[in-house]
Amino acid sequence: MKNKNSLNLVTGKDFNIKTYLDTCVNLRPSSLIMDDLKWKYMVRSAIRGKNILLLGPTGCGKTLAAQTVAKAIGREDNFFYFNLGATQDARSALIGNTHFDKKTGTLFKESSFIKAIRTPNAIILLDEISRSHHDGVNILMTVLDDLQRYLRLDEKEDSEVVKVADGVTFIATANVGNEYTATRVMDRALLSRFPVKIEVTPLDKDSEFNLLKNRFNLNTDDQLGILKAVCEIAEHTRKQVKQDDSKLTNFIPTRSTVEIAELIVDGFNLLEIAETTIYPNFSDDGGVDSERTYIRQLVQKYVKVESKDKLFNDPLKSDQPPF
Amino acid sequence: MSNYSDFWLKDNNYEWDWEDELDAAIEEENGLDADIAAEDRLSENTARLIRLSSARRAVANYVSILTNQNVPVLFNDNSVNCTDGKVVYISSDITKKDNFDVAVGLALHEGSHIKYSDFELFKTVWMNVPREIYGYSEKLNISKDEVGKICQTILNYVEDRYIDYTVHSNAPGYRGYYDALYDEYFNNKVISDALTSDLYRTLSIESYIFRIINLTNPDTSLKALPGLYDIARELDLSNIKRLTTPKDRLTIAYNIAEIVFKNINEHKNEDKSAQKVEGLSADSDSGAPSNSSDSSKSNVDVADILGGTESTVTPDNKDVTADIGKDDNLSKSKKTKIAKSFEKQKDFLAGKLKKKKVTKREKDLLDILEKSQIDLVPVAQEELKSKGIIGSVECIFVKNMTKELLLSEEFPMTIGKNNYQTHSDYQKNVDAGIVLGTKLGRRLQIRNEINVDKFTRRNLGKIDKRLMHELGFDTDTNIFYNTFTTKYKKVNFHISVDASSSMRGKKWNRTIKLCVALAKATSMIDNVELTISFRTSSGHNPYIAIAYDSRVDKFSKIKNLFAYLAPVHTTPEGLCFEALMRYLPKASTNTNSYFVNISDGEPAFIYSAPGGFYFHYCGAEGCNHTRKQVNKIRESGYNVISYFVSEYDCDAYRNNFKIMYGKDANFINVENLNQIVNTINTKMMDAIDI
Repeated sequence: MKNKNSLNLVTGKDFNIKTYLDTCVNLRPSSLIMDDLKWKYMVRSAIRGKNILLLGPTGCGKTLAAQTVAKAIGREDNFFYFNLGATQDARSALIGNTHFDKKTGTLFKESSFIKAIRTPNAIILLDEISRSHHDGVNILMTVLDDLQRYLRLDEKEDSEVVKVADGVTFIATANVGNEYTATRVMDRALLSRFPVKIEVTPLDKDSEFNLLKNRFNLNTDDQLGILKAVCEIAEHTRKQVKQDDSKLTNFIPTRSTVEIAELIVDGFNLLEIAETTIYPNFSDDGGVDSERTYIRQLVQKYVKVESKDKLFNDPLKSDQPPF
Repeated sequence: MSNYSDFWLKDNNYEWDWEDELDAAIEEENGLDADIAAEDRLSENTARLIRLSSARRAVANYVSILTNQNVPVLFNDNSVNCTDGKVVYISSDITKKDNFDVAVGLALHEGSHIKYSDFELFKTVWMNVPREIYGYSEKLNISKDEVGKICQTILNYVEDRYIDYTVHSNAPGYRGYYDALYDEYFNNKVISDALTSDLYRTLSIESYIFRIINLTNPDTSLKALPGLYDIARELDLSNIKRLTTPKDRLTIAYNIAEIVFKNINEHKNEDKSAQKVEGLSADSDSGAPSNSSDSSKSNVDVADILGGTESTVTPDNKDVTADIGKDDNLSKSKKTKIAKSFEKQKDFLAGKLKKKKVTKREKDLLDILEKSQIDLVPVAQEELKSKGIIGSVECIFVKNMTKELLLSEEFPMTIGKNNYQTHSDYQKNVDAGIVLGTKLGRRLQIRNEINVDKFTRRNLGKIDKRLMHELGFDTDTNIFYNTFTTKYKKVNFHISVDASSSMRGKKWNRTIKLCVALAKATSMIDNVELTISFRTSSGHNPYIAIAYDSRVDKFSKIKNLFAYLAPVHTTPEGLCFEALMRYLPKASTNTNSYFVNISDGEPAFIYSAPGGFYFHYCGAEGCNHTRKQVNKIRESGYNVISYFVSEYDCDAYRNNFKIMYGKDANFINVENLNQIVNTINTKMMDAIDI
């Protein structure tokens, strides 16, 4: 069902974008944690048909943000998803295939991407563009260029040209950083085709806690205690990995904490969660100096041990006043 | 093993060999065989330093976790007196079992100061002392300077309780370390005895400070001094978390100081026996300005937030029981103990605990060892268990052989130790290896080439545009094409060299030449990785060093360092392999991995376990264990090639060598050592990947 506050650019003649953007924060669902200004900028750019590049580490909610913005401005019916990181043959995925039938001869079957760019007001998500094969990037160069906005089906001079329809917004997501294998350096020409670049930062521990608590309906003290510990551990790894002399090369993304929240629902305790989902992501090479040791020491912080409940004695509670 | 550290040490297959057990073993052995003691001591010193280094890094992890900053954690050395708020200094006796938990607790405590305390505010404590306090202190002839220091001490106490409470409640898993810390400094029997005795019940600053510091002890009594109850109420330890800002804590500290001075003032005339206020020195009686008679106190204007009063360590020749009141039920030695414990507490507050220092030499060695990423790897646990010995042999494992390590006393495989050849002799081998390697490298450069073959008119594959026109004719033309890329597969070699003393002479010269040649050749081509390790023993420990790793080292490392290497001692082959298994990169289907062994004998090593047990790692025992390790290397995806280098054909060790390496055992005369290069060359050229 369409959002009541949805926006239809084609029919909305009296549309006042300033007023709309002032209240657009209300369109953001609670499942998406994003800074108000970034959200406003993203909504505005989507409405204006700008190409948007969402940058950030894995599992920080880039894809979710793109999907959400389409829904928020009422274009979920015109939302198209293409995972460029999972594409085997860029040409087939973005342009189409030539098929041969002995009776009817050769025929060209266009890809769903062609259909997407022909759809007015479409929002097209180019997920994991930083993992795309360079063929894919080459095909997209004219499509993403604001002054060209077309796709030629073949290299032949008079071959058919598909024009990008009005109001089409491209949203791409990219992991930037050398910790991501198989990602490619995005060249300046490609980057310049995305005038809007939004950094999606990983959630902080409180936001993550509230999000997961509500999403998985965690309410007992035990469950909330474990979730709080997990969120703190995850945040610590995210901060640690950014340090110059970091003791970790990996961190716990939100994607993993979501998985952990499911384990909490299923009754796993913190130690079991650590053994099954946290430790395996950290190398045990190097024995005591390993990342595994560090992460164990980090988890240890939250695991209750047999010790005195109170660190020190309060004399006011054990001694009588001297009068 | 420390109770609380089991959490991260267990399942890590790592056994921390605490120093006290080791010391006992060494002592016992020294008694049995004094001749080998010198060598063992060197080896044990290395092992001790490695353990110390590991322990330091483990403690540093805790500080890093707590503060979320990588705060340096260093051993206390001669140039350091106290924690300065930027670095956490730890004692060098943390490898003793009883000390580790306390050391972690102390490091957490000091780390939390860095996280929560305001060092700038602390420096200004003396400037903002309320006028009321001076009003009382002037009547007692206590100088402003002294009052400032007392306020600092009290602030330190309040600050400590707040930060300890905060970490204790937010980190339930670390509570054990705090318990150990408090038991060591605040809740021990000596302090409890002092609290229940008649000591520290006189109207003196010293008595108040003692009673305040120990308010958290279960044996504390609020009736010991007037105003103590008010102090406890002001502090309200159960609700200490309310003091969220450093200023809150400072206000409480001033309030407590005021109560102290006020009570001394009000009650000093009531009790004639207390006319001479203890702890204020004779100055107060004489009416002279009450600048502290202790010159060491006046030297420190403002210490850091951890420091309040300067350490008031009692000189040895002073009667330490003099200022702490009278209790006939306590012996003099007990009183001395109590006074010393109190001094320790004051040092704790001041952040100036006397931590065992490392010597300059030890510090330098620790730096060298840490740069070399040296570690102790526990091996042969199963073998020892089968003999009823619980524990492991610790193999010294050097991940990165540096020049500093190579030239230090801690490194056994270096020239100058029972070696008749000189550096220049060995340099000739290196130079010859470079010449040979350059030739080999030129030949192998073909490995860098990639060939792409296109096969057209296929019935499957991609459409060949050039053939599209044929589709208009009713023919069965195949219009597809395939491409095949031929390139050399990535190859990973690990060469493990026996550096036992029997390898001396021609064998060593040729082996070094061979290793250098291979390293040179692989440095000239892209898709070959080579690591070279040397193995021997050092006292109680097997010893293995990664001398070259083409993934991280430049070839110049070989050029500069290999001429210093020399064979020495014996080789516990399998024990070294077991340790090496942790380092070997995992073999994959994309890579051909080869483990090349070059040796000239069989394992020989004697390990003396704590308790007087001996583990003879030689003969069938050593061979069987080595065979197991070789099988494990094979199972991990490596092809094993092992060369037995001999000068004569009738070598008695051949059978055992076959037991260890099976079908992969090769026997080679030292004169024909270049055959190994040919074999490796062939392996490199065979690895074609399509």
